[in-house]
Amino acid sequence: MKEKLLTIPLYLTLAIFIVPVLILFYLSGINGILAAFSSWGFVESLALTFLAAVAATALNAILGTPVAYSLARKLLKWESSAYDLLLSPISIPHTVVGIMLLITFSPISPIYFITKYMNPVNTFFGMVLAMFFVSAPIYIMAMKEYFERMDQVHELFAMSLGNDRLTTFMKVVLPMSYGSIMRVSMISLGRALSEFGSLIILTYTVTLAPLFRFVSPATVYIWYNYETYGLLPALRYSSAMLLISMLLTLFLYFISKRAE
Amino acid sequence: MSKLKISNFTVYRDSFRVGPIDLTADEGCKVLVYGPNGSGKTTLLLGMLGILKTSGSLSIDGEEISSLPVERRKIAYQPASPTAVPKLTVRKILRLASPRIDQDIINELKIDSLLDRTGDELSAGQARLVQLAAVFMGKARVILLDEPFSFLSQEHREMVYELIRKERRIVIATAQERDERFDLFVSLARSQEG
Repeated sequence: MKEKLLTIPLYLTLAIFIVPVLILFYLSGINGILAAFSSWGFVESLALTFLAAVAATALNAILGTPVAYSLARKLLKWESSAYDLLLSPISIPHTVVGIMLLITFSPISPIYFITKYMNPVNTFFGMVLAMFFVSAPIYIMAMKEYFERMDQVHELFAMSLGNDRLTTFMKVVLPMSYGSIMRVSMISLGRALSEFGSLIILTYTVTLAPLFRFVSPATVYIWYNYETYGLLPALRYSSAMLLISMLLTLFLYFISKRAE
Repeated sequence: MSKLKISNFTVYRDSFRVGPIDLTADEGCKVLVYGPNGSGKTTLLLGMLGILKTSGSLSIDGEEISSLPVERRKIAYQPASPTAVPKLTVRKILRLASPRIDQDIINELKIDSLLDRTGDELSAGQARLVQLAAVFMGKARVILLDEPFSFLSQEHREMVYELIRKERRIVIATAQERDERFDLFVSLARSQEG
């Protein structure tokens, strides 16, 4: 009986997560979701958001995986400080992230002579950068923990055969880690998709010729509809976005299971 | 002609210490490090690989290697745990040791049928044979074998003994007990606690 008491927080937490989702789907209904998908403005906003989130996630996998490995194996002398620095965006409010990125690339930036060649404002680049900024710490943290748990005996075996650290990483560690990379990418993708605070400042509308012209990220689009037209359209777009996110999460889950 | 010289060599693992050990082994010499569980056999091998903190001298052919990273020491290591690299085929695992797979070793250990299987599809005994094939295929000057005969059938043990016996490089193996049947291990190093 006492053991069952331990499961109460679990059910309570599950309820906190699941009940709002069910209510959202219940209130918007199938017709509401279908109506959302019949809006071209929403569909292209969704497409832009997924494209940027996938790009940010790919960037995470390409940069974040070796970063996490270097930190886990303490290849840097200042590993602890580097890790703290890399995790710091977690505690920064995302509107602040937006402002930070905005001024870094603006003419008032002290490094404008470098950053002037890149424009994040209302560009696809800016959207990917903001999504990467907020999702990278989560990716690096999860992958670092994975690499720390990994049995290092295979790496030692490979290195004793004359393979350097980079070769061992590419030939031994990476093939063993595909499942985890997929699984952690899934979390990172979810974080990128849900980004709002920095995007509303940096990329209110994005133009990426010839695909997108003045298209808002999906979260900004939902917020704009809520502010301008009220709850009903926001409800429909929210449930449609949630449905797509859940289907994508499920798809990636099965892919990561196969990779494992 | 390779010569391994270990002088006043001590390995530290937290509060545990193995050594000091003095040993000189010439080319073709087979060394058995034996002792009960926890006596520090694996600790000594890890120290020779540079994974643990050590003091004293470790040289091959007069070259001090104790400050070199593991991949430049030219000391191949077969770990005690009988697992081959998961997700990699045996062929790819063997190529970690040498781009050209030595068919003689494959035939000798009878692992030809395993080449296209991945490390996680192998039994403990099969994984041990693959580990051994890789370390013998590599170009290391010294071969460290951590409990090489465990998880093997009697037939396979004999095959591995034969492989070690024929090896012209220095081989250092660990075992629980001194076994007089294996008198091809000509030098002994005893690990000690404290």
